[in-house]
Amino acid sequence: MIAVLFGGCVVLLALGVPVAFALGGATLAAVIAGHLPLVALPKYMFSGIDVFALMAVPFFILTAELMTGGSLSEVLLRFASQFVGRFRGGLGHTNILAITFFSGISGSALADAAGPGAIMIRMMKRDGYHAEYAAALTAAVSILGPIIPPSISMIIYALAYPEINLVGLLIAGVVPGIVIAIAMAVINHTTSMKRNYRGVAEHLALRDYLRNTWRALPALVLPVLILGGIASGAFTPTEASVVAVFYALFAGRVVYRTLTWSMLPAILARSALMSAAVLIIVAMSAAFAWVLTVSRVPQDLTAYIVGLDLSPIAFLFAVNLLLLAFGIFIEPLPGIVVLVPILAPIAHALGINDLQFGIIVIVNLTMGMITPPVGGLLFVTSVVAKVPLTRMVGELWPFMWAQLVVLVLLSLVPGLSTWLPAAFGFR
Amino acid sequence: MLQRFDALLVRANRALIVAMLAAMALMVFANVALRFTTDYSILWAEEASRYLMIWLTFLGAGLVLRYGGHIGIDTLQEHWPDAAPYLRALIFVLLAGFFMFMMWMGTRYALLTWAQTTPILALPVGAVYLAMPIGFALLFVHLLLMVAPYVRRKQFLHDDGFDPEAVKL
Repeated sequence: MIAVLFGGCVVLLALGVPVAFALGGATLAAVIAGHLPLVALPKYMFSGIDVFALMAVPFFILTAELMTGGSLSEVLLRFASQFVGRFRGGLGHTNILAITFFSGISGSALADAAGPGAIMIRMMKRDGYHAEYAAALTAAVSILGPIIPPSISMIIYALAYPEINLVGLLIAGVVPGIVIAIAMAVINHTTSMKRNYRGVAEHLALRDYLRNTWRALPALVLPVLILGGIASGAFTPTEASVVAVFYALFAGRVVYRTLTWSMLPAILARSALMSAAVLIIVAMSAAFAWVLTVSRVPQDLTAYIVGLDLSPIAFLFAVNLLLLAFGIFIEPLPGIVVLVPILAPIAHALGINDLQFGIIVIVNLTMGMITPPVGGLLFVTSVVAKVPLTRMVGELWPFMWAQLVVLVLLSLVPGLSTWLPAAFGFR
Repeated sequence: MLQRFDALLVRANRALIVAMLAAMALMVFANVALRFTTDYSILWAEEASRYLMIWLTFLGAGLVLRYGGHIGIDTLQEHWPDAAPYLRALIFVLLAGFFMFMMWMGTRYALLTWAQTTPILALPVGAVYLAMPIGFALLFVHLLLMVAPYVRRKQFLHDDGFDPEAVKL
């Protein structure tokens, strides 16, 4: 039965069957092979998405779309630029800072790349940066989307491993996100020194600073509202997500007046389609996970690996290698729904902190989005920058190395992931 | 004739999921606002929005298929362009079989649960679960409507507002 489940899944995926239906089809085959009741299939598919907490997924998608549609990205860019724009490689730093802010509003990497990322690539090209470099930098920084809260990946992670505290996991992403942003800034700095990418030569008076900040304030409130609301317990993540939707609507329509009512149907349609694409995978994977549990493979594997007497560090490194290999071919979402129910209980049994492990899995799988040949972020940025994907690869290496270093740090130093949530009482 | 039906189906499908997402957002937001201002909350809003999400998922999946928005691994097709149309024909057959089976299974499950009622709205549970057979029927219809350009040239319906790459998280 379990051979049919995994074998079927691998064959269907390799053929090119969409992930959702590869999971569903393999589950169906395993249910037939294992003489399990067929009715359980629809039953678990429904129970997988009949979850109130999951509603944060469509709402956070909608929030990011509203923010981009309302051109709030530009306001954030101007705000970021006044702090870091004048340094060597200033536009690159502006790009990093703006995407970091935007990640506090969006829950997905693609939203970061397609929102502020796309604007920054065009600006950097115009200012003399190599197009390949601008595209690589943007792709590399955009992985912050699901790492800095809110995060669609984390919401799905908490469904795949219900023992974890979602609020704790969301807060746990803040420090690792900032560390990655700093690492990207270091690479941007050294590259800009070498190639003499100059800073933005503009002289700002105090008045300009105040005006830019005042303009950006309504957009900057949103990350604070989301993270603060969730961390303080005022909102559940789902409530925060819907408040964010209406706040973004208000800011775009009333404050900035860049969002028109006629734009709404298209924004809603795009968000609804993206939500359906994500949720159908969640539904199918719930049935997949049920067969997995019935087969007792996760339990047996946990007992086996705990019996090996591995040190937690050795296990973490093995998991990191496995996930990196997976990430090259598989997008983060299917990676999470298939691997987390198996790996997270093992990590827990070995005494690894749940939050630290969750962060490692999410950072690692999201890095897969910038590894060729199948890197979702690379497609987007290469199209915007109008450079072939293959020419971006050389520029990507320094960023990937820097992220690998951060990944090692996250594996060796649990405090990077656990300190901030512990300060709020989440362990 | 078929083209008119196709265009109408896509437009109606789109309008439906737009309305569903908007309704979900309004209901959940109204509930949060009420909780903060009056300590009162609309009990049925939570249940209704959850069921709307289920319907959105299944009714949206077919349209996502049309736009080429379901994520998958195309490495084999890219490495083997000569065989790619045959691979896609095989995918078409597999998907058609899976969709038909799930249509049947979903119908059976909806009938099986029809007598139960939901806790607050007291709807038949089976009525909520009709989302699955209807959703897979829609997936099947969309699959048939897209088959020729998909198998021959891997061409999907184009929409300016929706980038199929965007669904990757």
